[in-house]
Amino acid sequence: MKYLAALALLALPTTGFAHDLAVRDAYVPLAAPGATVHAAYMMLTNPSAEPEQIVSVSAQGYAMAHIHKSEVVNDVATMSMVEMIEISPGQTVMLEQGGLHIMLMKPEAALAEGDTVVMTLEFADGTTQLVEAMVMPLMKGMHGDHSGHGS
Amino acid sequence: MTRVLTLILALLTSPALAQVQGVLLDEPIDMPSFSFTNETGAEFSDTDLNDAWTLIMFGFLSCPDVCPFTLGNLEAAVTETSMRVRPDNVPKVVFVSVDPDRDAEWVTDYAKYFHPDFEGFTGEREQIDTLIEATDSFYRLMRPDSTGYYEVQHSSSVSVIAPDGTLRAKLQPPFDPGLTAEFLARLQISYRKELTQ
Ligand SMILES: [Cu+2]
Repeated sequence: MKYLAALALLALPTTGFAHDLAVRDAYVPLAAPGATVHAAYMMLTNPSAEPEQIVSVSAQGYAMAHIHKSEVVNDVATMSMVEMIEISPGQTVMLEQGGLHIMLMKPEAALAEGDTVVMTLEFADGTTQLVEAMVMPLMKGMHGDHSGHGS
Repeated sequence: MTRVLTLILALLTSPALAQVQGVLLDEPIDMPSFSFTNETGAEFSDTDLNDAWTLIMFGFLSCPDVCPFTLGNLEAAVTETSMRVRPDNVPKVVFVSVDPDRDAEWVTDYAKYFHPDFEGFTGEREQIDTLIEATDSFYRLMRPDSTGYYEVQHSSSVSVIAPDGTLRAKLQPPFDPGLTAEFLARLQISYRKELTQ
């Protein structure tokens, strides 16, 4: 037991200090019945002097998570995998409806308002950062409201 | 010149107006006969298009981003429209899944989640293709990945069918509720003018 606690303490500093993106308005919209895929949205800012590269994401309660991008080209809605999100120093990247999002595959349970979805962002150097997203109604999350924040 | 300037200024001061919420068809397009079903046993066919305005959206349930927001915006747009038009002119909203293999058991529950009056249907591939083609729409099932999951590409616009059963317009993203309601109300006015001519 003591051994485990010590291990946990050792583990913490390596996951979290190296990368500290500022995460705002992270949310997962409540999903309609039959939807076996959810999406997570958020605003990521890189306050450091080094560029950050998010290369993968995992999410508790889901079989898989992918970085995805929606696009409408010539009236056709498509989604595709994104290899990496790169955020240069001082830059803010929006994961928002109709664009970049975290695709959450095969939920283990239905979402309820007020739930939290815990995701792990993995960076190119192998370090990670935890992100907690609020579960809220679809349109409330959309309107609630990214425009209030300066970049 | 002054007029052009005024117009440009109006667009600049309210950027939302610059968005196109829909396009009118040059000529109305007749709909062929078709038939869809859902898990409740209800049917949706071409005869259901008569005597009401209908908005048809194509999509699939494993679509976490574009489809739910389109339906959420349509819900808001139809609510807006209901404040501007007579109750019998409030459009019906029909969601047609182009992914029946995965969606047939859920499509009604899915649509009604966005509004209790929304309806969801799907059907045989041939029926889907018929309606897709008739509305000048598009979809494609993509190749499955290693887990068997596949994406579906589909038209983002929503078909507007008039009470005479013809396709009259397409609504386009971002489906701003107020502007979409405005577009629909204007479309209905010009439709009625055309009928009385
Ligand atoms: Cu996606």
